[in-house]
Amino acid sequence: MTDTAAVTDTHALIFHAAGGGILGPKAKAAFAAAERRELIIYVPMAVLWEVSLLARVVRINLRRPVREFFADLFSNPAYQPHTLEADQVFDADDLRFTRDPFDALIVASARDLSLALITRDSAIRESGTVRTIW
Amino acid sequence: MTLEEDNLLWLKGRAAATKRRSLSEALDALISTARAGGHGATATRSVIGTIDIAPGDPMLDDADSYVATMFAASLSSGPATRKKQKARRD
Repeated sequence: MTDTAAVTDTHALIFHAAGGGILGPKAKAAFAAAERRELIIYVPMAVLWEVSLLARVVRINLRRPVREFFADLFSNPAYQPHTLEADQVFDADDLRFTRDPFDALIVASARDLSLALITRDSAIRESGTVRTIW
Repeated sequence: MTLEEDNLLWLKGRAAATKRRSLSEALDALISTARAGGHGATATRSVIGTIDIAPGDPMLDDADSYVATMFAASLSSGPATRKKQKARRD
C-alpha cells in the first residue's frame, strides 16, 4: 500500500471494530497499517453520528457509550476525526449520485482531504466521485 | 526539537487536516489550544473486537435504511412542524 492516509466509511470502521473479518483485503490492510501507526485514517463527523444512530437502533452494540468508543479509537494517533465544515456540506449537496445524507458527507470529507475512501458501497464506488479502497 | 514517533504522526495528521502550511504552524496552533484548555495524551486502546454487529444484519445491509427512515420522517414533517411539536411538548 502506497497511501499514507485514507478516510473511512461507517461500515468499514464498524467491521474493523467488530474484528475485521468482513473487510475487503485492501481495507483490512489499511486498518492493519493504521494499527501499526503506518497509515492515518480520518473519521468524518458523519461517521461518528451514523455510528451513534446505529447503536441507538441496536444495529450495533458498542458495549460502552459512543463517546467512550471514539475516545478509545482516537487514543491511537493514527485515527483522527475530520471536522465538518461548510465547504464539505456544499460539496455534499453537489454530489447528486446519492440521496443518502451520510454517504454524501462522507464522500465530501474524502474529497476535502483528497484521499481515498475505505468503502464497499457500490453506489459510491461506481460514482467516480472519489477514489475507493476495499 | 525531537518528538516521539506517535506524536509526530499525530501532528502530521493534524497539520494536513487543518490545512496548516507547516508542522511548526500546526504545533503552534496546538500549543495555543492546549494553553487555552488542554488536551492530555492517553494510552492507546485498540477497538478491534470490542463491538458487536446485530446477528440479523451482519453486513449492515439494512442499517442504511433504518437510519434513512429516521431522516425521511424528519424531512417529510418539515422544520416548521418539528418546531410546533417541540412547542407543544414544552
